Amino acid sequence: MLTASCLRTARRQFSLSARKLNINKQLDELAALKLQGSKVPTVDSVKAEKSRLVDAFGQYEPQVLTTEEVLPGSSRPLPINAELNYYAPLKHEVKHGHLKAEIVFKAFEPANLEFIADFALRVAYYLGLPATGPLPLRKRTERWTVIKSPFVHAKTKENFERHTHGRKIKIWDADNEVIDIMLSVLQKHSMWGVGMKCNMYVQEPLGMGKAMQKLSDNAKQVSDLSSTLDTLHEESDSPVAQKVVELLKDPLFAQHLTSEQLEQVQQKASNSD
Amino acid sequence: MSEVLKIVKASKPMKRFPQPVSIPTGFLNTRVLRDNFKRQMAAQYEVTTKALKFIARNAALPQKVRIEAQVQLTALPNFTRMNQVRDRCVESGTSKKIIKPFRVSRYQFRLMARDGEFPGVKKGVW
Repeated sequence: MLTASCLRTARRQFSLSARKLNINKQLDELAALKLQGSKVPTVDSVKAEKSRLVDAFGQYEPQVLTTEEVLPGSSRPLPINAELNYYAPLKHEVKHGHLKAEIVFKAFEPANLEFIADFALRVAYYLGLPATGPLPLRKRTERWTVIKSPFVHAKTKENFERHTHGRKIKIWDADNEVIDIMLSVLQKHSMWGVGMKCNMYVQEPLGMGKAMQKLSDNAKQVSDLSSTLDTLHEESDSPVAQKVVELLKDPLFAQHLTSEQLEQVQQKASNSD
Repeated sequence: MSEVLKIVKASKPMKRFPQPVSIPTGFLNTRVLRDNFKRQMAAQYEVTTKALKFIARNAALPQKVRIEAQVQLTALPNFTRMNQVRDRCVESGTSKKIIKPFRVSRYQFRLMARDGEFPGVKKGVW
């Protein structure tokens, strides 16, 4: 009802102003008219808090270590994490000394290798993993001496060689899932000509010896037909095991088995099917 | 004589190998084809050979079954055995002086290494 009356007034006013060509004055009046009818909304306390937080974020001044505060061309300071790229990678302290993974990088040229090892340490730092390294591995030199000519003249030879450089990074006191994340990051940003290998270590609880005693006796399966068949049944996914059962059922082999043994074989085979 | 040969050829096309195989990529000659045939056959018969060996060497099975498996194993043609295959140069097909990591013969290795085809391999200077 209110808006309808407002509109009507507005239309009248507009037609008047169009005649008089004094639009600015009329618009001010119109605004005043509009404000009369509408309430000013009140902001609840939670939203006000949030807006204050946003203001605080706008006032945030990143810390810089160098004297040059503003990045040339961008009127913004260099963020501290970007600036850290100019320094040696930060490392978390090794607390418990539980070795969880060893990441080995190998390449024929050391330049890319140094870079990727540095990158890996930074990844470990930002994921919160205590890492040590990079430990340089012994340079592996392979040499080939070949005869120069395609046929005879074996006195003239040529030497070729290839050096393999390596860097090792150790990850300590970490969760396997976080190590997986780190490895996938490294794989995503892997570099040309640099190979990566990871040895992961798992710690077993105490009492492993007792658990191992419970494992099935391997010696038994070669002295007893039923345990052999059990083994074949357990490994029924393997194509070789399937083929063995198939061969034993074949008349060529079945003729050498006693009826009881054959029955045993067929029973096991039907179970696996 | 030639007439007879013609009749034989018409009735039964000559086959290079006892079983059909695919042709390898890369350098081709008779010896490469023959070696490739053996490789494919060895791969095809791998499961059978392993199963027969399992039976022949399993002391739990009756002696007659084991001997039968051994007989079957011996009766398999030679081309099913992995020890029949030999490393051949992928560039020139020769079987002599193959440099294992690169699968090429010494002369091809020299040419390719000088052209920088193998990452990291350079002239040895020490």
